[in-house]
Amino acid sequence: MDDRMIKQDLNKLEERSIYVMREAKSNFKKVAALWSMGKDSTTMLALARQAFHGKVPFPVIHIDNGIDFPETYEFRERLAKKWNLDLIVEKSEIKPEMSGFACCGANKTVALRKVLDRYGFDALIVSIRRDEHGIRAKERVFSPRDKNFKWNYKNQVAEIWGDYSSEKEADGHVRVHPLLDWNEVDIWNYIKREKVPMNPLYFSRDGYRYRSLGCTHCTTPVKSGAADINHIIRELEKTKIEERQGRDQDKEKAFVMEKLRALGYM
Amino acid sequence: MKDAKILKAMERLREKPTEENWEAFARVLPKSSIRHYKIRFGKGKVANKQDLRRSEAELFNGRGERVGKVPIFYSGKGKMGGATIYLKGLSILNG
Repeated sequence: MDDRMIKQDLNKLEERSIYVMREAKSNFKKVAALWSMGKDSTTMLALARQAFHGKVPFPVIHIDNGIDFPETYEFRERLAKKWNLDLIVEKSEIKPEMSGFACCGANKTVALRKVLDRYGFDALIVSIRRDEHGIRAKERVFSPRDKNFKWNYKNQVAEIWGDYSSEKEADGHVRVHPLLDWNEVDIWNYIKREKVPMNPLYFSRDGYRYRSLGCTHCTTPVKSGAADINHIIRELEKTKIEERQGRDQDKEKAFVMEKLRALGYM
Repeated sequence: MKDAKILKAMERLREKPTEENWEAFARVLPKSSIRHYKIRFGKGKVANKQDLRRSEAELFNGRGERVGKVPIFYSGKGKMGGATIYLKGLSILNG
């Protein structure tokens, strides 16, 4: 079995994630979270509710490029209402002739900058995991960005024994990554255990499902008969296929991704 | 005919995908027979596939029969953007 799929102790993962979010809330003036309505960011919101007595006590930002799946918009509306989320929807301008990658990276980053400037957020909770992509494996739990969104990945603070640094650069912000050590199977086991509501696109329909969700332009489904969580978990425990194989942006060369992430691409 | 209104709304969108025409489409969509969608990209060159203006959503009724197609962007008043939110309530036809 792929190391990334080894089941970890959910209680320990949950405990650490809750600790990270509480640290973020107490150390920074204005915290917000990014929400894409995917399984990871929705799990992050469920963890926030565990951390803060049933509430999500910070704004939740959706950077909307206008071409998400209709099911994703419906799920956003439903869960925002159910969980009483303080939802900020920021539309990113989309240039129709740009590539799939540029469509997401450049446009969404511009939109995110506008939101951070407008509201003055100094910490942003983002639901990336190390096992998703080699570039993300270099991240820290508390990862500072300068005022130009640049990430100095070659010169980062060591995070030893759960000792995190909340230092940030002047006019910059800190990315907080509470799910960094989780893997894909952990996420689904948590969703199952806590009955976290999920976007229906993750479940098989007509012999296909979406293992990783982006927008309609950049995401392709995978062949799968997994129509429920148990089946998804069993499927993941056997698969040798990368989680984000259906995402066009990840097909860019690794060093390009690294460079662009360092420049502030989400 | 049940779908007379939605077909008219779809035609107006194909001619002019303004936000007003999208809102009119979204109002009549729930009363129509349309239940599913499929996004089609431009054909041929990679640039065509990545051009939003060449993409469209095919719409199907509950029996999987094709009803028609609409663009997936809005434009007008100097703005342009994605419009898949107006297909809210429909489910994707995979495969």
